[in-house]
Amino acid sequence: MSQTMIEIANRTTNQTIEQTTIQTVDELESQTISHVASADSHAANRTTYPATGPLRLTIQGGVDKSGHSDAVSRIEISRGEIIGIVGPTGSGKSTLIADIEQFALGDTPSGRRILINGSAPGTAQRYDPRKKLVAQLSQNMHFLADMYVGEFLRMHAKSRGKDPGLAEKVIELANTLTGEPINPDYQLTILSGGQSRALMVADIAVISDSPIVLIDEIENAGIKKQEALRLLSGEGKIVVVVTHDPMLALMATRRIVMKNGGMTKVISTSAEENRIFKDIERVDGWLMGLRETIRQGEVVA
Amino acid sequence: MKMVVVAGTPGSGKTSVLMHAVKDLIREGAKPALVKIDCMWTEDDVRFKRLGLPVAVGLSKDMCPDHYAIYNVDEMLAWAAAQGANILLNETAGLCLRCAPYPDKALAICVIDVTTGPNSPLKVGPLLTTADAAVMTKGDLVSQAEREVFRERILEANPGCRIIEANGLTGKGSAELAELMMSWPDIAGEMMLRHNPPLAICTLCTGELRVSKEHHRGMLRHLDGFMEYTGE
Repeated sequence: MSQTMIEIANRTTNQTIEQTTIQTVDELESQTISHVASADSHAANRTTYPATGPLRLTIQGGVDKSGHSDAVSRIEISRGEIIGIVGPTGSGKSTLIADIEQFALGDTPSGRRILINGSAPGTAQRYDPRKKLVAQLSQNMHFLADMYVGEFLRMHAKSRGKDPGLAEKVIELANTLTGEPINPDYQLTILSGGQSRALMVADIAVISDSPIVLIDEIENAGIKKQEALRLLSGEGKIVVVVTHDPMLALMATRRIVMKNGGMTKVISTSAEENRIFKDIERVDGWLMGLRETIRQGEVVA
Repeated sequence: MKMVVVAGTPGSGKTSVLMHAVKDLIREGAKPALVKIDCMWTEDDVRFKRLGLPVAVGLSKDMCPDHYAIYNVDEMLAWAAAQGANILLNETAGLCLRCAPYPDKALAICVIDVTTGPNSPLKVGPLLTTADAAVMTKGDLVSQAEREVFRERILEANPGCRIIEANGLTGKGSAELAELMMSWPDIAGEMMLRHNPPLAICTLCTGELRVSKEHHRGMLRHLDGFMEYTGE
């Protein structure tokens, strides 16, 4: 009797993922390997977006928080352009970034529409990371994933259909942006804000590698912001950057001004502003030098 | 009548995501009715009723809430039909990861919180592995890389499933979810569960409160994984 019941019990629980409550490390590892194998079949049918060729991002206006139409009804952005989003806190900058990230089809609270080369992207381009046109650097300064740096990056490369070996390159690049080096054996959750941000930037540049890059407030990152922006803008990308930082705002060719959730106007960076940018860059370099002197425990002369 | 079962762990955002989807369903002309299953107490029905759809509450009390939901499917469907609804939404209590209260012809949705970390899709079990769609919530709290790794982990646990990234605060993803609900076939004929519920035939089920092994009989599983029947 007892034997039969065990057999029935085993048969009925066979379909569950976990066969035993307590697993040894070896068992867990072999489970992971079988997962890898099943995910590889995903990678086989991936297609990638064109690295070059025409790419035009269109933002069609929607409504602000009060339901009034955006004063800016349409903006076209082409490859190679850095475009800023500015405005006071709560003015809808992050919402606009979110609209672009998810290729809003009039189905977000703003009612905006985002088009690529004049038409709405397909479902795969909206949701499948392997076909995704957008890489995003959000305001998050920390990782929550309980994984090791190297393991996490290899997994991310796999999710994007890329070579897991790129993980090393990401860490190498991240270490050029931050003072404190990152080690692949570090737990993600112990990284400092600056290390996390540097890793996120390098991850976008190397693994995500999408033709549209969205950046939300890079200035608070505790990393070399200008280098990070140059790295992300790369060759022929569209970069949309939310910023309050005068230097970053003026690195953009145009900037969208937000108020009460709406797009109120678009300002083109003037020749005068370009001249002022040079001054800001000089001042910033001077401040960076002073900061580094103090960080190294030396006396400012 | 279409049937949608929304499951997921407590706090994963089932109610918030569903509230946005209900608004979209009503806007698109569907007639949803909702049954919220909980164990001891819920106030979610008050939130849902504000959206202007028929809402009923089922409290499972001494019965396992998932068993309770499964046992009462006919009654829920009859109630929804009497309300003139064409989509029955069933939000489960979301407690145990072992049960998957999904009838085969219903649309099975597992709501899963991204901030629980990339190992959680592997822990959730049949709730996720037998779902038609996984709704990822709280993605705004992590980096894009983390969202993508999480997504990969969901696909490892359930390779065929549709993944919807949703935000219970902003309503992101709800239009896609509502569209999926509306496109799902009507239920017809006899329905079967997608996955067997756990064995629950032991002295603990009948109210034994004493803790040690010597007091228990039935189908029992030891810490080392050995499963046996003890008793007469």
